[in-house]
Amino acid sequence: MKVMDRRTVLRGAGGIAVALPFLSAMTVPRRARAAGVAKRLVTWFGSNGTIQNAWQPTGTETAFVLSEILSPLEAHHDKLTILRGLNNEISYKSPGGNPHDLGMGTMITGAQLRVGPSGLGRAGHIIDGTVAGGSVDQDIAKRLSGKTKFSHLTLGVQSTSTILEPMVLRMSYRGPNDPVTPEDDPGKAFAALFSSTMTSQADLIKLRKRRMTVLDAVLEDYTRLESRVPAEDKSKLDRHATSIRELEKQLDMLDAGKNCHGAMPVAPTVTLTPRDCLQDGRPAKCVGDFPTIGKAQMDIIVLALACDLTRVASLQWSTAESTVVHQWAGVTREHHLMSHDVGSAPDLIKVNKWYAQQLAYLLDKLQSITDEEGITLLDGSVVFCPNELSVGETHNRKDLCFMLAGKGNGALRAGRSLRFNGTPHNQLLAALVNMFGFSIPGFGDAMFPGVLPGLG
Amino acid sequence: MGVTVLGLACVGQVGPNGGPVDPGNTGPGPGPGNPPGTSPGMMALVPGRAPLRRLTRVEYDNTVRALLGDTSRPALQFEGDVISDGFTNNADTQNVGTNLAQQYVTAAEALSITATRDMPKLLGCDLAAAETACMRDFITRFGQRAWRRPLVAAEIDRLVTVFTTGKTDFDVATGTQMVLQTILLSPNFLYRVELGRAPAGQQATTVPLTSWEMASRLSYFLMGSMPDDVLFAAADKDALATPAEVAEQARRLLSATGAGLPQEMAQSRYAQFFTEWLHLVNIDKMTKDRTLFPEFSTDLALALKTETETFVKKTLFGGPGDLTTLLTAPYTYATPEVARLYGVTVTPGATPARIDLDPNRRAGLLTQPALLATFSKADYPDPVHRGKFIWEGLLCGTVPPPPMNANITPPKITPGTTARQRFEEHRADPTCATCHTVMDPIGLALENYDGLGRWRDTEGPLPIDASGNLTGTDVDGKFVGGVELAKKLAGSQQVAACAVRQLFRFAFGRFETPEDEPTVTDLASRFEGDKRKLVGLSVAITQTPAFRLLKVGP
Repeated sequence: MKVMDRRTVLRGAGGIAVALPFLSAMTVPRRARAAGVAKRLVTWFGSNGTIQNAWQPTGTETAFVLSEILSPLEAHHDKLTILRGLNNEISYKSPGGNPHDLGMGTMITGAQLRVGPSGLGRAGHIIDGTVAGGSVDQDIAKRLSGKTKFSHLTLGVQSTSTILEPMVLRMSYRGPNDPVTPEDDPGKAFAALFSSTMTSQADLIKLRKRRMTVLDAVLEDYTRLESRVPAEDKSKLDRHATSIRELEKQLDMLDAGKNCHGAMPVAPTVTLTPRDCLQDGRPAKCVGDFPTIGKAQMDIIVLALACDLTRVASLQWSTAESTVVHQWAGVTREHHLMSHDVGSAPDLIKVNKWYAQQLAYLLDKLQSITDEEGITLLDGSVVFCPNELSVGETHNRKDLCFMLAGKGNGALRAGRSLRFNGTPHNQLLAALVNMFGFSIPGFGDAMFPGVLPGLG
Repeated sequence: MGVTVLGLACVGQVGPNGGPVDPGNTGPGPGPGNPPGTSPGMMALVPGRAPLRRLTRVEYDNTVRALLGDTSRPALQFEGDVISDGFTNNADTQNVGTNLAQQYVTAAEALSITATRDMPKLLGCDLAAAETACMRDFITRFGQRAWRRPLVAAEIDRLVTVFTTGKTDFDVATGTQMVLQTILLSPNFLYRVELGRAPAGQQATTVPLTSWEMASRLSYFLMGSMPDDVLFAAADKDALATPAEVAEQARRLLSATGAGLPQEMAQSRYAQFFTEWLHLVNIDKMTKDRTLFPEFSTDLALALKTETETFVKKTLFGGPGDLTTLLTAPYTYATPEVARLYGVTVTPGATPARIDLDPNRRAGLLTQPALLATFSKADYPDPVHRGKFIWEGLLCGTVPPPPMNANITPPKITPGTTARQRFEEHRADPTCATCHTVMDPIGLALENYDGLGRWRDTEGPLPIDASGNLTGTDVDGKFVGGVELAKKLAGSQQVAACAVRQLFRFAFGRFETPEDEPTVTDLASRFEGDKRKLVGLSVAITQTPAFRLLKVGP
């Protein structure tokens, strides 16, 4: 039984905390080290492009100097891989109309957009379309499935907007028509991850028995109905059923999250109630929410990784075409509107620098925790930082300003500033998958095959 | 009357697939496609797509309230419905990932625990006396209401097995809860399954819905909830098979004199349609600069939405009931804090009271603060987006995105200028002009309404020039201010046809496709012929092949 195996393994790991160096020498799979197989992926999204000359480092590949925007990451200089000169080519081959749709939908899928039955709406946005393939984080999650209770943890900070259309709201897809909506509420995210770790083993077994009976019966209904409806509806029901099966798998992992490698699961104190924050009549407190929620979400990601509840996490700050007003960064206008305006460069630098400070916080925390093999979470991870645009002002998606952090457990030779010459970004996505011990020939649309060389 | 595109490269009418039509092709057009009274049989009215629809959050909460008497509104905890051009029920955007799947489980567990607190009341039979018979009987009765159709024997057997397993592993109450959970997590509950009647023959391209399916179509379209007892009784007798039977039930639910829960829900459903159409769904997330609007609060924003909802309900039910009145009425329904925005004092009360407004300043929905404040920035009015919404949302025109390198930052507010002067640039720059010469003169005519929708005569020290112009419509021409704009739009067949298109989207949970155009055109002509009565339009929608039939075959 999977349950027993899992428990045995974790008991072993939990019981030898003092003997860690010994165990680590014994159990670090040699092939993992030698092959440099990355353990975890964290995807980090910020919107609206950047100011390139304030982002790009100067100097050489290994002796580079961080620019104004990235300067908060100086402490992690040797953990960074700066990627310049990649192009999101597929976004120029894809149907669609709005640059944010095109950038966001293709950003980590490398796949074309599909315009839905309703066509294009406001400002060329796709009203109900999707992308033709899954995203790199979900691809890796699928490949690592079964190793952890949750195949992925997808969090957001005010990522569900009122006005914007679906394509700009999500970057992550399990497959076509199957977007993963980020959880914006730190309280809910924490509860989903840790409620079972705070329940007794006996109660967990009962819960599992009860839910399994119900969900098995429910799944029969899905299967039965799927055989009676048209293909389009069948696929919709099948995606729902897949989610239910995922819940069933989670129920099997009775012991998950019990060993947190020194991290302490503490429920976030911040709650997501924009209403309350507005109702008290003090806007200053309200605008503070975005950074506070962001910090809580970063803490949860670190916890989930430390407790090995998942190995694939993402944080989506706002949405593509973000309209957040980053008042706490000393800016008074909407991010998206500023991005179109060359005169707003100083303010945009402030915004982008603020995000670099947040990333530094995450990297600090990842660096502070050592896993059972004796390496830090950061050294074992790949942190992938894309953006749906390169230059905000023109909304183009060439010469992207992408970055990686972490060492991918040896799969990623960090501390370098790399320059490519218009290589399709699909190749980076393929390279990310391969850092996890696979050898795929390309990722996303077949129009842009290949694997980005030189990262390992 | 055809559509005039006027050679404006930027703007067009909504095309058959919702996208802009080819320039030079005038598209489906807003005017009547057929003279009123033309038999639908003479036109190629066919049912369009019917993608499987999942209950929206509003529908889920309404349904568990009707089914279990549970008013806890569990769907407030669900992942938000995707908003498509204002609407929350576009079936093509509905997807259930792991988060939502878990939220459904959590909700079903909570609902089942509440429901089993009073077992005799829930079951309606004595479990202790005849356990299996009682449970089987309960499952048969409750299942039929929850799945909105009779259960087949195998389905009942499986649910009985769930009960037996639960009872054996735990206890009777838990077993009953597990039955409820299984029912509430089934696709037969969460989705509106429509398989239709058996086809009449090999050649059949369409099949009628069953009466059970029709009961749900009517109830979710008109009430946003499961069928009431009368609909269920009609379904049980297969008495929703003819257009006349369907119309009778629709009229019953939409009866202005009916005082029952179904009628109240039908009125709320219209209010929901209008607030979604007008993009007011998430008005509680609105933010305003409190140094300029110290009176603003989220409660006020919600009260503005309530004002619009009340106005719609009162005007459609017990009032004139037509679109023209909705667009021109010099009155509204306001709570004291909303009335204050109009400069009117009313006696405090929980329900909005009718107030008469200055007919030179206010006319219907367009001049209500909810819409004006939504299409404003945190500080100042947003004439471009006000104009854009009226062009896109009320006239069903289309606007492409600005060129990628266009500076779309609104001009800075500089003392000594008016918005009209600041936005001149749009029309001076030829790349911007094609669209903005259409949108801006609409929005700038609303400059007498500030960022919260209050009347103002001046912008700073400068008098406001509210002259406007409509181009590319069937009511082109110059006008001054919001009231004249509202009156022009109220006289537009293009606006009336756009209202039909919007209600079609809401009714069918999807946007129209080319095969729906004859239906939309036919409905628009009936709407004109019926003095633009909204209730009549809903009844007319229930009579279309699109509403009554399903496509079958490839």
